[in-house]
Amino acid sequence: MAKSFRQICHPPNKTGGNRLPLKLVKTGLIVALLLMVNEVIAQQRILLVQSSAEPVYQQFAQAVREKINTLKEKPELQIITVDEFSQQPIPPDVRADYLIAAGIRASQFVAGLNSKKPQLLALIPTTFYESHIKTHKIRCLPGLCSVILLDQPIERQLKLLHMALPEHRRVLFLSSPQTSALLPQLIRLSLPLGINIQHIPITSDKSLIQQLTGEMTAGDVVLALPDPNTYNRDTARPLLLATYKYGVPLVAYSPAFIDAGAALGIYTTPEQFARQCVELIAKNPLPATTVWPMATPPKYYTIAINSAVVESLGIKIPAVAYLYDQLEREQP
Amino acid sequence: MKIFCPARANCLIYIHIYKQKCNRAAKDVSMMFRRKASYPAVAGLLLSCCSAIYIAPLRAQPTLSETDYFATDLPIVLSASRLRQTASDAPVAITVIDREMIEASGFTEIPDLLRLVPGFFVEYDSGHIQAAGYHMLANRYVRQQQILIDGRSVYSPSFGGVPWTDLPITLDDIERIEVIRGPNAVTFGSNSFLGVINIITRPAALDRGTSIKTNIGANHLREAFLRHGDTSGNLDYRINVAYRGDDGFNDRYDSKIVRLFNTRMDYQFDKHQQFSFQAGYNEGPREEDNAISADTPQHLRTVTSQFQQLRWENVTSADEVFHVQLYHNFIQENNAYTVVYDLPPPLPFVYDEGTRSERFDIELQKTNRASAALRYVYGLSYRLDRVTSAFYFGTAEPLEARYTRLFGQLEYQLSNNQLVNLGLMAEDNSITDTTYSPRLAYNFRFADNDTLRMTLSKATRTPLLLEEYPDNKILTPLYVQGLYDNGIKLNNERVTAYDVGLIGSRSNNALHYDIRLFYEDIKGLISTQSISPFPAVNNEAFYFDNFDDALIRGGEIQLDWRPNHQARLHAGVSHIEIDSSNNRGDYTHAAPVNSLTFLGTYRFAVGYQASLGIYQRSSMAPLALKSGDPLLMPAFTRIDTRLAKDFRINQQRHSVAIIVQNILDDTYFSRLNNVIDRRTYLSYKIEF
Repeated sequence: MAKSFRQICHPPNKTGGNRLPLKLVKTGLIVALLLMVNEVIAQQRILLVQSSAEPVYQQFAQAVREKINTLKEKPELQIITVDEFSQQPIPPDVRADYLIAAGIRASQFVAGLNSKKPQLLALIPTTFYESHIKTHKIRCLPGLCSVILLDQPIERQLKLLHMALPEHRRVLFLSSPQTSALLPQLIRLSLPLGINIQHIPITSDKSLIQQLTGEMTAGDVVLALPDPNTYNRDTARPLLLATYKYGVPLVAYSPAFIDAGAALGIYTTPEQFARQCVELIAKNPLPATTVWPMATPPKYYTIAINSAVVESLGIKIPAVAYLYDQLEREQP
Repeated sequence: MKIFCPARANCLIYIHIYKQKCNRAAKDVSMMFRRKASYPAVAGLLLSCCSAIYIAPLRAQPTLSETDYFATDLPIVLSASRLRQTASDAPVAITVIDREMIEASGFTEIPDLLRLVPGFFVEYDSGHIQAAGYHMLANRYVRQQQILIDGRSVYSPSFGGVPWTDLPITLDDIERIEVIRGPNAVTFGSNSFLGVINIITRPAALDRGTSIKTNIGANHLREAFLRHGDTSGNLDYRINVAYRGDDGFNDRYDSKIVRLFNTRMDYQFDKHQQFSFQAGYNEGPREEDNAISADTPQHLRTVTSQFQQLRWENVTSADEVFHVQLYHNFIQENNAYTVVYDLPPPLPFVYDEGTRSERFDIELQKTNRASAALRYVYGLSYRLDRVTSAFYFGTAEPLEARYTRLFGQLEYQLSNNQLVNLGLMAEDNSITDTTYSPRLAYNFRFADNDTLRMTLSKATRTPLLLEEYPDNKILTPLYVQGLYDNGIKLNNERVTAYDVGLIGSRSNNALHYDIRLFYEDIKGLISTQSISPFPAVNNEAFYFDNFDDALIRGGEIQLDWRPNHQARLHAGVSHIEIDSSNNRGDYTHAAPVNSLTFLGTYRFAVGYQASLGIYQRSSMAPLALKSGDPLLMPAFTRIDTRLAKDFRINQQRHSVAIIVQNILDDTYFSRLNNVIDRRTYLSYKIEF
């Protein structure tokens, strides 16, 4: 469409005066076509359903709005939470051209609408994708529905760890039964990097610190993968204190953990998820010409270093910009 | 006299024995009770808990949600108040004794850990009075260094130094000890004169579950420790109960019993604010004999000490922390005994050396980073020391000393490899004038892993109330003795210290080295002058004054090497030369010229750990004893070993260890001719 528009804007050939009627006809047709297309674009509507009004969804929604406003087509965006949706006397128009769900709750809600329009399920943990979407417990039609996963690819995290701390080859992986299944994949991906995974299964809440006390000396670095049993508000204090006590840096998956005392981390912000989301829509204008991938990992990410902790641990980590460049080069 | 025996069947047993005839018997009886009843009862009670071990199952599995990735309510756990400064950035030389070293050493007494610090010397006045000093072991009180536990000064307001046995903490409570080698009054105020011992206990968050430990062995060592820690919402807490006892040295009446309790509660208000409360209690009898004064009969000195400490921290970021800290220390010694003078008829004379001291302290401090290159800390504090002793001060009214402090430090990164540290402590105290303790340090990283440090600092030691206002008149039937105030206004002891250090690492941080040269110019050391106020009578009295100067020069080397993941070697040597006026004491020999410390440990794959400690020093003499005196402490080499085995039974972690101190039985003399011989003991610990 844009190519056509540019062609239209080319300056007319002033030497062909006898061909004016034909040109007028052509121009008229093109203008008519353009008006029709603009009409179609103007009618494109996106409905974004948030799981709740929590800041993370607000940030995501706001970023989606900003990104959409940068598009030439500027589709109409309606943002609503699941609760608001349910409380509306007149339900919003679910015949929107695109449905975006932000979070698990919103995804479940959107799936329940049985819409045949393209759906983007964003901010979805991999564990939920594996247990609910991949197993069709939640409706997500192949080709029309796509999931943007929250988790960084394990390979990306391992590469970052390897680049940042090349001498730290004994990597501790603390896992509850919920995340133990990641172990084979973790081991497989770590082998080419010369990383040795030390698995510490966390069997009980109270034993977390005792287990760490006994096992911490077996590792050079802790790779934290999202696990609500192992990494939560209650365990953050003892966990970070224990890693610091043993001089073992922790590589985290969230900015909060980095602020709290992890040495470094890699994560994707709601704004970056929004960018990926809008790009996916922009690359797939209606009528749909491509089939959406079932699930994609975060395309954009942020690397952060807690310099106070790193300095205190006496370790040296390359600058963030260097790590980012290196990681981008390694991207498949 | 009373001998206090510990609990048997929840009751207190007092045995009354008349001292003149039965002192030895009293000890034997008391020891029998301790051996046959009390300690096994305590240990058995603690260990019986094992029979009812409950292993907490994993709680219902929460499902991972997107909010786990974007949580914003995590507290800032590692901030400037908790993060250690790297050795290459520090303006002073530091030795860190961490938990691994504490366990590997096999020591059962906290001051013994200071053997791991080059330039530190640990000697024993009795089984329960230790003297640990840096560069100078002037007397049993070692007044030239500051000792803090979690920022709380335990420097004794009454006698100076630290009563190690009376501290309401156990060796197992300690997370690490940071020993600052050199003056640091700019940070901690007066008395941080030649060094600072900063004991840091474990945060309550790291003590979840229950731990029971017992030590038994030579000299009838019998110790039992019970610790329980848990979390409840935002509150982490820990409770410790301990019983410690031993017979002291052979041929001495110096056994001790320590009953101890302490607790720590850390409450996280929100992401930024943390509130911490600590309290502790220590009490028990300590046997005293006549090793110092021939007239002193064998008797019991009972000690009660306690503390409460509150700390509120507001952590804005890892670099920006504001804290308010309040604490109260209390220690009371009941030390009354009767001397029967051999007169016709025999005349009993009662001595009551009872002392009570308190400290109240409040401190406000702000730490921040103004820019990438500039960090700073500033604050103020107020301290009140109150000491009551009719025996030493001639009045039953308490004497008070007040200290007001204003301090600040700047750390400025001149360039990528140059760091300047500038600080000043202004202290106004009620005993001497206002003092200023400045420090200037320059760190130059001349290679990736090597730093040169140059430091100039000044520090003071404020006279104790006892030194400034003594009034200890003992008018016995045979002679007159005591301490008295001759009207001289004492000055602070002052030190100007020059320090050059070379700090660095090799083999990817596996090897850390620290080489230090020091030059400490000390003026006005306070000691006593003996006089005879009544020439016609057999008498002797003492007064304090700034009699001596001393110049301490030397060097230290410290190495810490982890050749692989199983092994660790820590070693240090020191060379010290002291020139002194020696007017009122032999300061020249108050430190050994050469000393060595070594601790090596290796973890085997099957849960075994073997450790070897070597401690060596050349001869030295306690202050006031001239060189060549029979009580000169000769050189010694001592080798300690520890073999431990860790294993698991279900969810319980067990650890058993055998420790042999002075394994070669190369006996040597500590202070007062106390004989250090081979000592073996067993340690068993269970955690669940």
